[in-house]
Amino acid sequence: MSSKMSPQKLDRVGFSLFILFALFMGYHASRLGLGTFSHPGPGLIPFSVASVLFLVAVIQIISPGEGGSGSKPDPTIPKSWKKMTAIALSLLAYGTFIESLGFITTTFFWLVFLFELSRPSRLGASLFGAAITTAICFVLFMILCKLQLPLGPFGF
Amino acid sequence: MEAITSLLYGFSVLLSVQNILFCFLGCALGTLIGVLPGIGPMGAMAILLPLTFKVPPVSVLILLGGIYYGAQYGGSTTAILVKIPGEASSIMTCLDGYEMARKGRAGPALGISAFASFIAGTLGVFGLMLFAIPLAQYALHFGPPEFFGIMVLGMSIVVILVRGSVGKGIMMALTGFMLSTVGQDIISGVPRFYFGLDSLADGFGIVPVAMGLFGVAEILNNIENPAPRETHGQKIRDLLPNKQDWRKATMPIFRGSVIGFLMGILPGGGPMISTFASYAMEKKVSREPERFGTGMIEGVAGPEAANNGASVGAFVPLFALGIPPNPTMAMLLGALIIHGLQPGPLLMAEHPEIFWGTVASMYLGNIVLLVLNLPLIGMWVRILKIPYRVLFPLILLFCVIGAYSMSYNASDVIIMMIFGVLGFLLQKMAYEPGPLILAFILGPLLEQSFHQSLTISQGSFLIFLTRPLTLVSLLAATLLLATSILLPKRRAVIAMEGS
Repeated sequence: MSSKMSPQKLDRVGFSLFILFALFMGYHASRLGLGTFSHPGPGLIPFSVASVLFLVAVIQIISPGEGGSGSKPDPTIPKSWKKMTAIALSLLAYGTFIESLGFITTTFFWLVFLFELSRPSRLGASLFGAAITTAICFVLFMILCKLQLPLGPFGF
Repeated sequence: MEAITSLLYGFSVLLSVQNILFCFLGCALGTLIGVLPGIGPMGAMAILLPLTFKVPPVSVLILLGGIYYGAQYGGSTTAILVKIPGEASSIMTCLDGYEMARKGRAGPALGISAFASFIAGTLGVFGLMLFAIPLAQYALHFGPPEFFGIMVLGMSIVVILVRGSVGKGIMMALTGFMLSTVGQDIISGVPRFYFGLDSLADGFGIVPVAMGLFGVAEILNNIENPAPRETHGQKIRDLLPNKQDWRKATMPIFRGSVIGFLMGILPGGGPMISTFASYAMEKKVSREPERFGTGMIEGVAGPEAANNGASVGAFVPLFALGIPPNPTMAMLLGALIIHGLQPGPLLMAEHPEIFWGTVASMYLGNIVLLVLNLPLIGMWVRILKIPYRVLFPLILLFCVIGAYSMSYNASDVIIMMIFGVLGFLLQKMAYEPGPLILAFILGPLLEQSFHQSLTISQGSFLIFLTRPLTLVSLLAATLLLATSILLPKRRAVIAMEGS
């Protein structure tokens, strides 16, 4: 899948984002207090770094320079963007529910989801694979390594 | 004589059931990671780090060090059999190693690769013992300005060696530094940039950031760009190289060992760059340079020796100066810090068991890796055939467990996810994550040394100009960055050699 954005335009978008990041961090760093060079405040170093980042990003926009081969940005939309989005959202969901539902329950359903994301897949195989993997992780991490992974409302 | 006594002390530290087990485990995991696509030694170290909190620091270093140099061994297996480098340091091995496999000589290619790695690793450990101690003793005279200068020089070299533009490398390094300032200021204790979020009060953890950038991002990348993993169909036999193979490979192995070790010491050097240098050297000294790329055993032996030599050489600045020469070594530094140790030249004096225990483990580790890589080739080949749709959920699961168990905080999983997506997008925009993670880990040390320097000089920046080593380091850094930015053709050549 292609996008209408050229690599150069994508680069300029990237540099602009870095400029915004630098301005944001620089502003908040200045509010922390810069102090003096003999008694630096907590914001001096971050403000200085943000300033340099801002300058470098501005220079890059004005004069991008050349990269080596294999260094061109790729503006194409990833073919598997739906799958990647699903994985990212599943990680978000995992982080949200692990402490309320417990490690074992969350891990089992999450693995079923991930195995089912790929084709070809069979629900039975996904359920079996998720169950075995969760059981191995339980033994390996909670029993052998004694990690304090969360237990859910059902005690597991 | 003192070195031998100390080495024996190191073996006494190593020869406990736990440490031997960790050595085996590190080597096995490192080989596995080198064989499998989708996760490198840094991601693996990040995953394992939280599991080692109750383990003594020397055992942690033995484990993580084993993963690091073990991955160099494992990466060559896929390079030779599938023409896909398991690790970036095996790229050059693909050229002649795969051609040897196509000609039915996969066995000797794998064999010479393993022996070259073993010889280079062993020689490298000798070098580590010889170089690290005098360097550490010299470094005892360094003050905060010297450390600041050396760290800036090291960062600059890493930045200019990125494959993309130097400007992007600089921006990534500065971003990494900015991210390291989130949380409590180490000098004043004032909380910075946490915006009322409790999860950011202590800053971003090394583990979620590293796992996001190098674990999750790599998985997303592999999903978008799946690599074909058809192994060469011929049965692998005759793993032991014959006399002719040894005759051709001996000098490349020794040259590669030296090149690799010396380049590993240099910031930004590392296994990958050393393999290019070694390959170029072998092609230059060969009587048949035109045959390189068609299955020359010298093209396998030299680079494989170089990458293992470099992986051991990288321990020299880490132990002697407390400065990691590359992002992967920065993870080891992070491990030391997490375990409450202050990296630097005093580490070897105050905790000799850590240095000598790690050195001793490398001798054992090289033997273990030779045993793991040759007889178990069949097993590694079978592992290569596991479909990625089965592998990636398992890798993600380990990433998640590692991120969560860092501080038993679910927000670390979310932070890892954010950095994973960010890392993927940054790679699409041709930004390399290496300078970011190195600056992120070195950031607090850099800030501290800068602060201390200004405190010593009462605010005068002249302190950076009046100390010879600091001045030389900063001038060299400025010169390197300036020439890299102003000479784009030279950059293009370096990048082409790197691709």
